[in-house]
Amino acid sequence: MKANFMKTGKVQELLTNIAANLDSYRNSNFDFIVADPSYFFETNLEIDENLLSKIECDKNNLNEVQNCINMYGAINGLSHYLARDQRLWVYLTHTVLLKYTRERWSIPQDNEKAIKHIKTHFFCVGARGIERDNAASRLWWLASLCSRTKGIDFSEALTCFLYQSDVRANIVERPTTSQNIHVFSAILKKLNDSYKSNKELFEREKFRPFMKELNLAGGIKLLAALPESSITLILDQCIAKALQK
Amino acid sequence: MRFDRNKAFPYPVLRPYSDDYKEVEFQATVEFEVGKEKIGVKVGFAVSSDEIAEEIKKGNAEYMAAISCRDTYFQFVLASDSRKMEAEFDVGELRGEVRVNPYVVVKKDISKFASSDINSEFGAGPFSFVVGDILAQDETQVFYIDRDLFRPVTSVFELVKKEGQTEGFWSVSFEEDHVQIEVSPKLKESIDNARNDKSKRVVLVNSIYFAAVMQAIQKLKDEESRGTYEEKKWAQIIIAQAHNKGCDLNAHDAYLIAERLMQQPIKLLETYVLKGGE
Repeated sequence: MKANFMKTGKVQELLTNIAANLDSYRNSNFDFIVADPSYFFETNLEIDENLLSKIECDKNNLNEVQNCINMYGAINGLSHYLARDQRLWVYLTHTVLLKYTRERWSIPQDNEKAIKHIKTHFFCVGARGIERDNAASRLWWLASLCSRTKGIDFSEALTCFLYQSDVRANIVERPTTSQNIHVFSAILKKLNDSYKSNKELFEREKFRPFMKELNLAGGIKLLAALPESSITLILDQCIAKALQK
Repeated sequence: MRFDRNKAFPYPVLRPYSDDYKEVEFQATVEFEVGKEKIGVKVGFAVSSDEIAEEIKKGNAEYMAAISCRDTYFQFVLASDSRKMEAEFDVGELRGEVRVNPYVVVKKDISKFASSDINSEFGAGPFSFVVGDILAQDETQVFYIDRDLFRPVTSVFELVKKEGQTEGFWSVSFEEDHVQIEVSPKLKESIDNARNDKSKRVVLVNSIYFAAVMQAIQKLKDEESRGTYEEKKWAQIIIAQAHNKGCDLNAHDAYLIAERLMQQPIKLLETYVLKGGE
């Protein structure tokens, strides 16, 4: 099927009307969006509806890794440019992924808290709303980041990347560690090794000093200019120092 | 590694605002060109330190430009011993703020580097550098890439009819993501009809649209109203287009910025109306 994008004005309208639509967010649906072409426009982007329908979770199993894989597979022709367009993701969270969004990000009973919560997970608000908060787009972006890694299986990369949100945030929020494929891959391999053993590197008091050491190393040496083998050597030194602390 | 004028390296680095070196400079120029399918970038380097230039010539160091985009997690490293280099990316790879960091980077260990331009505070030398060390760094250059940015600035202006608008007057509203130029229903109809004619379109651009663009720029020049509007799409487009065209909203007059953003619309008026040409 072709991907539909919500029209900008309609995204704004939904955002303004969250309070009025609270019941639809909690218990009902937004079928009027699909039924009314004034809400959206069709694009040439292909979406695999079958894979999209497999995105699901429950309270006991968030199914994050498989959902990322399915989301990335469902919209694998999406460019990074378009992946930052909130109109795609807002359409999905209000239509085919409404049930998933509601289950993954359970809406609070308190109305005021619910409005804030809906804004965060059904829309793309703020600087990091697209890759961190929107229920649909975050799956695609997490998968996209992990798909670039070299020398580590996609599913394994996702498993260790998704294991600890604090560790993930530390990597993603630093351009040095998230943008350079060699650096990102080398870190993920270290995390994967740790995940398969004692998970020591995921401990806050170990991972933060490791990142600090890496920052210091990257402050005097241009990591982007180094081959992955040299980066791995630097990471080993940083980890050794961090684990000593 | 971002450029930080307050940063001190443990070894001499040729860079702006630093006295690690005396009398010599390192500078880079960057140009982006956005097409339908591809984005091209051209980077040029100039280094006046003979010793650094010699290390590049010997193959011990190279020019490098790291092109990074936070919004798409894209990074591409251009490296060469040539002072000019270029690359091309898919148009879908870059969006929003794109940073270009220019360097001269060590690619083979250098054991005896000496230059009379190095500040004596570093000692007599010679100096040793290892792979990945930086010999020279220029300031980060920032560009904004968005398909909307390469459309005419008037694409974020919308002509709307306003019931009750007095004939002969029009107003501008800045409250939506697109600037709304509000005209009476009768005037709206006349303008819609005029759009089919190239010369009439040129008159519209030079009258009502030019004034509206100028007023929008003025809203962004004024500190108080800038805070109110800067999150609107029209404001972001104008701010980014002005940045890419080297206009300073604080320093330049609104009409001059409007002329740059609208690509000298008076030229169209001259061609299509005043000279009556096609």
